Amino acid sequence: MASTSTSTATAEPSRPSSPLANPRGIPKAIFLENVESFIGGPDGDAEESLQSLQQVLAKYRYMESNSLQRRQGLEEKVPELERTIAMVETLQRKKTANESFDTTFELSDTLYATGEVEEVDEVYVWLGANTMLSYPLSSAYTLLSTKLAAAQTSLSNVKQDLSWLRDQITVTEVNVARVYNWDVKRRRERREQE
Amino acid sequence: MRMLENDDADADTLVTLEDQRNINAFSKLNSRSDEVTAELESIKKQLEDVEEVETEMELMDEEEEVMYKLDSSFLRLPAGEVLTLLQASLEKLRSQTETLEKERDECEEGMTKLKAVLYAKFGTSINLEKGD
Repeated sequence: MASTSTSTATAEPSRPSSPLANPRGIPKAIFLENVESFIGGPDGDAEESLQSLQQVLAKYRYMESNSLQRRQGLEEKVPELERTIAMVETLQRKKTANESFDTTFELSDTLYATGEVEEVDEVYVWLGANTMLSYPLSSAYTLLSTKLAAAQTSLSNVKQDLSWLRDQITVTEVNVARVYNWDVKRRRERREQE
Repeated sequence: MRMLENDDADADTLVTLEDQRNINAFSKLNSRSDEVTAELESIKKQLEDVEEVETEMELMDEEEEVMYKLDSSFLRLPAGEVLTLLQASLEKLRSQTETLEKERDECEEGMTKLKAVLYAKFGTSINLEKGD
């Protein structure tokens, strides 16, 4: 696991394992040591505390749904890059063996044509933004591998974020339940006193 | 699954930071275990397909050309070459299956341990079972 960045160097050295935010700056949810003091004493406003906790929860859920979307995008992108790299590898292998091969390639979703691929030196890589550039096979391979590595890193970051968010959501959910229970108990005690 | 404590005041147990950590660990294992199960299912399906094709391919003449699908195109390659490619992907799929199965077992094991700890402390005021 990556060590925490130097920006958190001001944190207490005695507790380096519990930073206040994860590497992407998602804040840590506070654990309520004591419900009563969180609410503000025995006559504190539970309603207000519940509302603020619900707000925190909604923010975490929003971040979670964003991260889930990002993860989904990356989970499509990674295999796509892997397939492209496999194709470049095939072209390289064929070139080294001085072989040509026939292909049935896609013209449109339901239309295929056949063609012969002779020794290929260059391929065109779609870079996005309506741009395509030609690269020698080996450079294309390097470029695509770099992109794949970057996508894999982002994917693993998103997964870390999601797991971090999972923790914060659980803490907040437990907080909500505890404040709620505390309030129910207080009401019951007051009723009994009357 | 949601971990909601019952609002029954009789079961009002003090939640400590240690408990919270256990609940977090359980929650993470639980969601990871769901993910792993889904991944395993899809990889096992792929593995079955490739295994089936590989068996068929072994019976073919090495020189005979087959259409090998790569991304959106079909490449006409000699059967021998395709067999090598298939075996490589078989190996990859098998090792993925192994890793995932190991992870799934670890998740299950961890969850069983945590369940024991958490149920012992919270009894009926915590729900750690699947299903809505």
